[in-house]
Amino acid sequence: MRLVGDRRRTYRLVMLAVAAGLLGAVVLAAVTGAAGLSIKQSFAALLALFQHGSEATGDFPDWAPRLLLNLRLPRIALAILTGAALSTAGASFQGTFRNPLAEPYLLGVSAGAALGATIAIIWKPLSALGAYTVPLLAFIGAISAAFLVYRLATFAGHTQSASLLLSGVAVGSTLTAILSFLMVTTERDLHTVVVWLMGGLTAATWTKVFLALPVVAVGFVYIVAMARRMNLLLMGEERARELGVDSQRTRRNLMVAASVTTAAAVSFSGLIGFIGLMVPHIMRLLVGPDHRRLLPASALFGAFLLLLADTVARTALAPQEIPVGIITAATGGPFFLYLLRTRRGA
Amino acid sequence: MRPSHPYPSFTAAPAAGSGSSVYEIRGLEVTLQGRRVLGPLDLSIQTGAFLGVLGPNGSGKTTLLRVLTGALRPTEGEVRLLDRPVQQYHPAEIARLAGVVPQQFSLDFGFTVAEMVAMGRYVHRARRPVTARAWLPKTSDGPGADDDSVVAQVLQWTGLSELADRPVTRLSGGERQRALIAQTLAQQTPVLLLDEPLNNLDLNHQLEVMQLLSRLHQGGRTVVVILHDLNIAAQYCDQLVLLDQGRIAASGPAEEVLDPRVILEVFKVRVSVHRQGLRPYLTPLWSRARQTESDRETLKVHVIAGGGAASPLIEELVARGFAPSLGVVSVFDTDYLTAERYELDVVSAPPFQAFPAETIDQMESLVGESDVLVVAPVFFGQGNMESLRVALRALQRGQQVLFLNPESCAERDLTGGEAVALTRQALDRGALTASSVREAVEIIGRLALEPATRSSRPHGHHQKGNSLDQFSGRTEGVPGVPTDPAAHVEGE
Repeated sequence: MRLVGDRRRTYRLVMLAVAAGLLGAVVLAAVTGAAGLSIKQSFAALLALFQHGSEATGDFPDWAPRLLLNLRLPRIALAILTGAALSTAGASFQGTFRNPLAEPYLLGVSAGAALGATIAIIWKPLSALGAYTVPLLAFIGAISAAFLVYRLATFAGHTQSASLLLSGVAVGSTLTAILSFLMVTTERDLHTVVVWLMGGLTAATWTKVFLALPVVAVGFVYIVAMARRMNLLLMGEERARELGVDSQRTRRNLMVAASVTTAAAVSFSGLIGFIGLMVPHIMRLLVGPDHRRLLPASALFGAFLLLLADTVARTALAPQEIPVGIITAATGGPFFLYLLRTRRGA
Repeated sequence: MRPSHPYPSFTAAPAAGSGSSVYEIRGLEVTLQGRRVLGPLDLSIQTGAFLGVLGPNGSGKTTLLRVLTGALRPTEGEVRLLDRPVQQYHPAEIARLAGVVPQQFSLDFGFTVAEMVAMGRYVHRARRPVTARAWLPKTSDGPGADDDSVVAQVLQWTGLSELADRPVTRLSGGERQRALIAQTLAQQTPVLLLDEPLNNLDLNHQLEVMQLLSRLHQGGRTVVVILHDLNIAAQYCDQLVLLDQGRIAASGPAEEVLDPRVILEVFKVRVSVHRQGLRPYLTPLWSRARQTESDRETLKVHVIAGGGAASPLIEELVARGFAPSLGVVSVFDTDYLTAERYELDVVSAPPFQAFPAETIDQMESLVGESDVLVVAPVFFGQGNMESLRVALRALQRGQQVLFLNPESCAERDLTGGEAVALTRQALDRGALTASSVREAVEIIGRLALEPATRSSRPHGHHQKGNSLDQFSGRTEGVPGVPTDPAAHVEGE
């Protein structure tokens, strides 16, 4: 299971392979879809788009380059961004909590985002805020929930892992109860809410990409910069402190960074499960536990995996779309069980 | 574990105003959940000290160490590291000054040993202001300062070079412990704080670790180490602090701290102290914690000793819980020193002359109170012939007398046959014989189980209490060398 040996070489190989896979997935995602374009046409349009811009013409319908530019490409970008964000945040939570079952939604980010998004969808007066009401409220909800959980778990300046996990669960279920109440008392827009909750990258736009990008990028850079400290935190807060890490502060900052990154991704993509849980595990098996390798590898692999899942989601039952959350959960569930059964002896 | 080149010297100038102490602890008290676990105590740890911290479980050793690292905040008082309160340091600053080996650690993820040890180098890359930088040795430049070579070196010191690529999760307990020590050494700190670093280690690795600490100490490092092996502490540490219920019960050089009375008080264990050069060496005799009044402790044995002939028997008897009395022996005699070591009752006489009459009387009365008299294979001259007559009189009173190796009596007779004759007479009157120490101890052990042995005692007055009570009573008094060498019965 574990490939120790020369980890540096393994890491390079894995990164190369995943990068190649990601490139392949981008091309695949660009040339497939429900628009009625053949793969050949899509490919030609894609090339023309890169060579001559969106007004290019050729052996494809005139609208094809614009379809690629405004629908498929932003969706690809958002998938990459979301996959990378969730995987990085997942690895970061697993590291700071020294818990293999930790995931990006640990601090109630998912429930907070869901409640925010639902309020934005069903409470019409809010739509006056513009087209980005849903992601905005989802983001606010996510951050507020994480902050609340953190505050509830902090006693006299000290935050215990166990109380964080427990208050995360408590706040999460309270928010979910409110959400369920809102859902049963509303009739309109219920479908919209459900689809959002299942997670999906439908209606991706470049604006969404450019809104999420800086948050995710800053979060990612910060978390990667903390990689060495995260390694030390794996030996426990007290040992990390003895080795020179300001454990409490580092852990808090990492939780903030990971939660904000997650919130940014979730606000635009809805609740996509299991990516943040399983990608770091797969990568740990391949490149080892060192966060300096684990974090970049997880980000890259997460991007690849979510893009692949999204491509399946929108082509499998075309023209109908399957929320990508269903795909990731359907593959993630069995993997989760596999982890539970194999890690017992480890 | 042999260093390939000498340690850098840490005798650099101490920080201004700090004098020569690394740690200065004043009025320290730590209260956890309403219970005071440490203090009040004052302690000053000098630069270059090799300090051993001792004490029973729960005496506050680990708490003290955690206060020194800043992991625990003092409830009262102050702990100053280089003349600045520990609480004011950033963890990175402390980690550059003081490396810690905790009692345990967990690392469930599959880092290799080399990767784990390299974590100790973190602090040399973390960019944090270090106000105590002036005091710090320059470990980050010069030969052997780069991370990989430091890691390689500490792995070699701890004997882990061959396990460098093995995942930590697959190490044995002792290997994990050494990896932890190596990780701390990789920090290259001038101060080392270790919490029972010998846990899980085999004897050879225990000694290797202590020798390593010794060399690091000689290289100028200040070492504070919690140990539970008092003898290892005595052997390696320059100074000891003995904690008892959160307070300092004794501190100073080993020969002062490892006093049998202090050990009895703190650990409830009776020990005998040998000396190896200046260093005391303790042999635990028995624990007072489980006080059972056994037959052995109440059976009174007197040994006629001299010239070291009785020492093996005496040690064997003491190890089995007997507390024999001795005499008459001269104060320079090996047997006398043995008796003194175990704080046994002994009738002593000045050397190089016949035993004075009053010592014979004292012996006679001790023998009279005994259940068993043992005649050790001593050389008999005119000076100690009276001992054999005492034995004969004891036989006449119906007491048990045991001769050890009577067959060699002729070789030990310097009286021209008189001693042999007396011995034969004793054997004829029913004295027991044993041809080895083992056999003698077996016979005495059997006698201890027979109530008849005691009923045969003519004087009838039974010793009050058991021998342990005698000892604990004695510790309040002044044991040791008699001030009057002429004639002296120690103890009661």
